[in-house]
Amino acid sequence: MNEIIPPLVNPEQSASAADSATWASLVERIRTDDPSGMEELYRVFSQGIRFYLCRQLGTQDLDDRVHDIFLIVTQSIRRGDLREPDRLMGYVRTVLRRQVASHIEQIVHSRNNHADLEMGLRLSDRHPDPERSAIQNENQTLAMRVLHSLKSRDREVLVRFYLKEQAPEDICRELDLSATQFRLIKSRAKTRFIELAKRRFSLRNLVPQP
Amino acid sequence: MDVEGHLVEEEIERYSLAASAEPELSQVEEHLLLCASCRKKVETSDVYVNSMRRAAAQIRAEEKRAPRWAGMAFLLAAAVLLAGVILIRSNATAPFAVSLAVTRGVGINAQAPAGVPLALQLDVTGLPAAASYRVEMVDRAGKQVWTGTFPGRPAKPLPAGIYFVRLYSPAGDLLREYGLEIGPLLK
Ligand SMILES: [Zn+2]
Repeated sequence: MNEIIPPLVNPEQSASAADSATWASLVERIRTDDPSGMEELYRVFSQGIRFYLCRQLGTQDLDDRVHDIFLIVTQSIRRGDLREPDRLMGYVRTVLRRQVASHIEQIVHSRNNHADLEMGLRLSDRHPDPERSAIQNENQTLAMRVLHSLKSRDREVLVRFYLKEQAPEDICRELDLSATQFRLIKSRAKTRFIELAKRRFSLRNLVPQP
Repeated sequence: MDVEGHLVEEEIERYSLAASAEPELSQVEEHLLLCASCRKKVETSDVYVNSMRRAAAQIRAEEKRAPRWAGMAFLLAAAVLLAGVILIRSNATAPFAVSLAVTRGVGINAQAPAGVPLALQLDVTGLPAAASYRVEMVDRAGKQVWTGTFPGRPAKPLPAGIYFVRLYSPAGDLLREYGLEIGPLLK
């Protein structure tokens, strides 16, 4: 079942299937301060924006950051900055990327300026989230089990690919593998990992939650 | 994209490995803004890639240690009196693999022993694809203590303290910062 939520279109359709008219209608309602426009913007984008920010910056201040993104997007739509409503998705992504880059710059700048005042590192920063670390360690153990269960050539393939980030073509050439064999080794290992993880944790716990 | 417009396995894997190039990267990220089922797949893929990286680093570290110990056994047999010294030196120079995982938050999420070279395994999930990144380590005061590349040679041994590992694109853009706490020498 698909779970795409483009505005005012059948949820079974893909994101790209949301047509120009639907984006244009949404953008126009935001521009004219129609509350239904804001509601729809939140409904359509909030989960995706949370996902992106969480993946890049973590869960700290996540709600505030999501709010900031909506503020920037709506203000710029009202100013008329978004001339092509079709580009709304691309525009939201651009705002997200800029915000992430600027946030990272700020952290570094603030740390450099205030390190001597012991402000760069809050007490809460000093300790890793124990639950998250535990899940990461469990997942690493499962990955070790998968790697150790493989014959040495297959293990070497995965180590080169995931650790060394060696190009698939180079791995295939050096270890005398076809592209299909390479794909099979990878997909079997991933399937095995997911099976082990499902057995060990509830699926929700496979991924550390925000 | 598949026939229904969803991300295919290869696109998801490249995204998790931070190996997507434009225009694919834009297409993937724009799709993820709207598609919950593909976000779920990316989350699983991120966990898998991260776990495999950490496990692979552990395996490589174990493989490197094994011949070292074998060699040491030979040396022990040959020169018993020197064994203690060799043991200490060997432990002191074996790189310590330290995984700096996805920065969900800006806290210190990794520890490593002081006084040993550090084989930094940096999580580059979600970053622009690059053959190698520039890495800088700074201390709490922001003073640079080491620079190198990732992937690349191990970072130099450092005294105990709080450090930050910064990852830059080849063009010099700061992409990510990881916290690292270096503690006393491993017993
Ligand atoms: Zn999808």
